Amino acid sequence: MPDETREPSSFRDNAGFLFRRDGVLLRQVNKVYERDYKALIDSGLYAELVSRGLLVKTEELGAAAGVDGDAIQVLRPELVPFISYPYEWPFHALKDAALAVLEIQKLALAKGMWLRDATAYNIQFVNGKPILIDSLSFEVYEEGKPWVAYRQFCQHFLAPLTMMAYVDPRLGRMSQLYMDGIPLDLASKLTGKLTKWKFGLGIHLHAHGRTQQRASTQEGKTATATVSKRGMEALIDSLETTVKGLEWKPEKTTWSDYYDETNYSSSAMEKKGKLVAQYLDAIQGPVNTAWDLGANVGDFSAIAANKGLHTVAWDFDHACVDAHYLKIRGHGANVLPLVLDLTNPSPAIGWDNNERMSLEQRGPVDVILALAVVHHLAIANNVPLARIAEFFAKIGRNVIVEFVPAEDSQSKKLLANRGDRFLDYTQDNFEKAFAERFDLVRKDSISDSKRTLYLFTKRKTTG
Amino acid sequence: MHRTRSSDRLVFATLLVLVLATTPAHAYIDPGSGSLFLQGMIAGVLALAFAIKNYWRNIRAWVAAKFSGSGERNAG
Repeated sequence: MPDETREPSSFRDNAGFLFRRDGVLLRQVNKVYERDYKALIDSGLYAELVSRGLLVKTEELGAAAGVDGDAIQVLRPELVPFISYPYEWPFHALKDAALAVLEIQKLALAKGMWLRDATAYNIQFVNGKPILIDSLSFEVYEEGKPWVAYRQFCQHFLAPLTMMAYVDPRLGRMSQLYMDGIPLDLASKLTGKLTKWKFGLGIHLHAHGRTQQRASTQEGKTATATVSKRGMEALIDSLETTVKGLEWKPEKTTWSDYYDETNYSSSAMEKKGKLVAQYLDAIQGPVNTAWDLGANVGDFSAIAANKGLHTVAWDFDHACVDAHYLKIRGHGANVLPLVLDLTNPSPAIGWDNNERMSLEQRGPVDVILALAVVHHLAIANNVPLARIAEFFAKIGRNVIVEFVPAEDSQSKKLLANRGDRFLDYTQDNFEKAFAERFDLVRKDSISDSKRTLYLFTKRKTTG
Repeated sequence: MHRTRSSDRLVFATLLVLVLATTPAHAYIDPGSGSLFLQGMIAGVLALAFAIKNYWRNIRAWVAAKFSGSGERNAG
């Protein structure tokens, strides 16, 4: 008997579902979706979207490969290297994802189909480009009908983008609280004074929020308004113009100029980079994935990525992550810059806390880069060294970690006004904490600085 | 502060009844009655604006082609 499990996130749509058979991710297409799936293929839309890199490529395995008799087809999708979520995307990634959805909708309309959902969770990033991962998101277009996914598009994309552009990009994290996107009346309340005279936002956000609110107090309606095809094309064009008009430029943050203000001379940075490259080569066994924690604008993520590792570059600072995204946007960089607060990593959320994975559930990764990050966790956030080592052992098989001593000026800044609370923040205690769970592979002092670089590999548990 | 006057509500309810047609919307996601209503209301205006935008774009393209001389090359 093959080992089969349904993906816990795949239950809302009766057109089909994702499941794993012997570890391989597959998608069953159900009878109810037969007409639309046939149209997707026969209209040439599938081929066009795949050729433009807008839809994930799938291999047809036939109905016999289904889990039950309801299957008309089973698809094996090409795997996305890392599943990320909209609340982890920087401003320009979310904006590119929104524009990709609208581009897909336009191409679909030209082929007599359209999107029947517009959830941001159906978009993932591959090689710096957004791609739709759900090939069951389409249906045959019926002229006269309004777009059923209009509200979802506005809640998942337009509302958070407007809040990020006009108030603060950190509001992107609010998508974590609202699984079906930011309520439009809430986004309207937060941005109304700043955007009420903007034509597109006035319609798609503010008026939309008001009509939503008012309609919710009316009796349940099962009817739909009439929208011509020209009207639909105009609606999509207006949404596109509105999204394109949203812009965010970072102000200078602590982290955006971090390397200019740290203890690193350019030669020390270069030496650290060379050591990181050597350490990556020194890791035993297969190494395909890396997470760079506190990646800033990705200087060290690039070293891992250039060695062919799919590298997720996490940072707390939105300005850094956005700048990094703009650097790798649109080309095969093998890097994915994402926003993450390491002291409060993305949790498992959704129905039964089982729809969107936590950071830990998306690991363990082959190698963690934790460069100039431990002193921030230990001093600024009071995380004991032992707990840091424990966390790294949960999420990674190997760790390249830098120790920044208390005498370093960056540590001194963090220690200012903190008294003598951190007397146990010593190199000796750091090594002891990591020795509990890891074996030391390499250790080098970084010349031109007071810092030390380590390569640890996770000790295999016995018994 | 919310000020929802009863006349506003009456107008909205009347418009809702007028705009909503008889075709049911079968969707696995909730399209939201307000969203359907709004699309019915704005589609005509947006279509007009879209048409004007496209005409204007065509005129600009024609003028640009005329003055750059590319129109003649293309014609040939």
